[in-house]
Amino acid sequence: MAYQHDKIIELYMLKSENFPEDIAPNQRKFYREAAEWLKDNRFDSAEAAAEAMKQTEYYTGGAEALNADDAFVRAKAKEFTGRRSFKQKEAMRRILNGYMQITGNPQAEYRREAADDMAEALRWLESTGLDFDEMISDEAYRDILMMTEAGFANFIEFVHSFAAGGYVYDDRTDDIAEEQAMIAEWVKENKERLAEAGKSEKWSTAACIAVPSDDPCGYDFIQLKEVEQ
Amino acid sequence: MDMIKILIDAYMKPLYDTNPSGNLLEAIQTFEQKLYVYGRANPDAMDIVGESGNRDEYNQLYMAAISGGAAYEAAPGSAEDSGADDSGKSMEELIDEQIAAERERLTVKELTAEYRKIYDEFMEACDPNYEITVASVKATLGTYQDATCAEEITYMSAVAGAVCEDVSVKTKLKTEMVVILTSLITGWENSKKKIRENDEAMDKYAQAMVVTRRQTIRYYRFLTEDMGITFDDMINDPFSFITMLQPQGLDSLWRIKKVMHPDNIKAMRYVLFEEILSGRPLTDILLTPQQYPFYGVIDSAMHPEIDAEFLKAAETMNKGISFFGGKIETISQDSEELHKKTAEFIAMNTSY
Repeated sequence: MAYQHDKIIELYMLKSENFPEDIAPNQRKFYREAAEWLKDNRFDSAEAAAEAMKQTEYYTGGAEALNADDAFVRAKAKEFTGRRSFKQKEAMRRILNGYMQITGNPQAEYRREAADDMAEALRWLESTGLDFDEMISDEAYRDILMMTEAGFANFIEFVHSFAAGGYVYDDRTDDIAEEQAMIAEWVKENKERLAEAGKSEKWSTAACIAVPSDDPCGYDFIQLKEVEQ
Repeated sequence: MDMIKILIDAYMKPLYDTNPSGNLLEAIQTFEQKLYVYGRANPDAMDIVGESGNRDEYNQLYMAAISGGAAYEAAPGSAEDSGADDSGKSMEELIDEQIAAERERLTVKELTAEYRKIYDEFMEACDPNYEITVASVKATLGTYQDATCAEEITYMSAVAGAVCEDVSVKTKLKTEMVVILTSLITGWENSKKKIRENDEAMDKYAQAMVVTRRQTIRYYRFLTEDMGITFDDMINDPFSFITMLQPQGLDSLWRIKKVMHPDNIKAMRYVLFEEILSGRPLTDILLTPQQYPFYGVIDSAMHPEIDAEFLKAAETMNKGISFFGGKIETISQDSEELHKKTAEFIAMNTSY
């Protein structure tokens, strides 16, 4: 078998050149230095080259450089993306979701579930030594949670109050009790007029197919089906 | 997502990229199985090679692989290394091939070409507005095609991982925001309808409308002041717009969807601003016919034929799209793997 010493050197040099310095500096360096070593140490066979290489750092150096570059690019990516974990982001989402559901969800059971989930997320943050106030001051969370400055202030105040007093939903109806009583009485007294108003309205069910398109709303709607109720 | 597989694939890829053959290939495959045995028993392991005590063997295989198998000792009892691989190519030919591949950057070109092909196929098959399915794929496959080496893909992948996490959080929040508002509006509509139908509990529905009005005022203040979003912002954002129509996917990527009547958006706008938030007396609202009708959801149990017709129509519209039609010309196993990963990304972002 013909041993191509110069071709191995050429291959190593090419490999070195193909690794960008800012992405794979360790492999770039390794292949350049291994090629230099091969230039200084000529062999007649692959077996002899491999045997001699075993005695040097170049035998395992390629794999080590690969591992080092893997760690290098991951650390570089972390510098860009920050050290926030998905669990932390999810915890912040669950807390905001709790605030949102308690504020707006018309179903009491969903508000209660969201409050429980929010409490659990706050407990998880605490158990991992994370501080909500510190996290919320991180600009990245301001982007992820998509809130306004005023929104953040309201949110933080709500979370503090929630953490101190638990779930308290203001479902008092004192201020609207009079209006409720009046309208309840009024609808019973005006059945016929209400039914008459409803007659001119079209109450039916419908469905159609949405297909992505260039329309400004993003869709074309086709095959409309309407079923009278 | 099978994290063990992803980690092991990352370790094994550089070895398989050298196109090993014969004893070396066999040794690499045996080694890979060893990693799986360890990985399955230790699902939290991050450095499977190191933690399993196989670092030296990995390093030796790696060196053997990148030097064309020359430095790898034949397994005991196997035929002596003849300098040729299973394909009959000589060592010289194999090294020439590797030099040509490096010169032309063939490995990364092939890899990015596959990413591009799969990305294009995916984008053709998806709804570009539907952030749940599309955003993470854009952040991953959409960026990998510009990579200049495998390590850059690792970097892009790590960055994309964080982007996908952010997208997942934002999409869930946006969806919830829309769903709460539409629930309040549809709740109001339902009460109004029951009252006009003279339902037995019409007085209770009337009382509920007072509560719904208060809840909606509070929630709309939250939307506009805390989140900086108005109703018009929502309907001008295609993802929020379609979410308001309660979409149901008619194919695996939700490109084609079954939705409510699109005029419901007009009705929702009217109800929100002309009725709920307007401050008009309820007596006046209840006696004024609604300007735009609000169409309810068709009960699928009562009308299964409509769902069947829609599914058939979606199938016809998706015919010719390679992602759905089985026309994908798989270049290699990597290609199939990427399809699986794409599906995993989608599953991750729709599992809520």
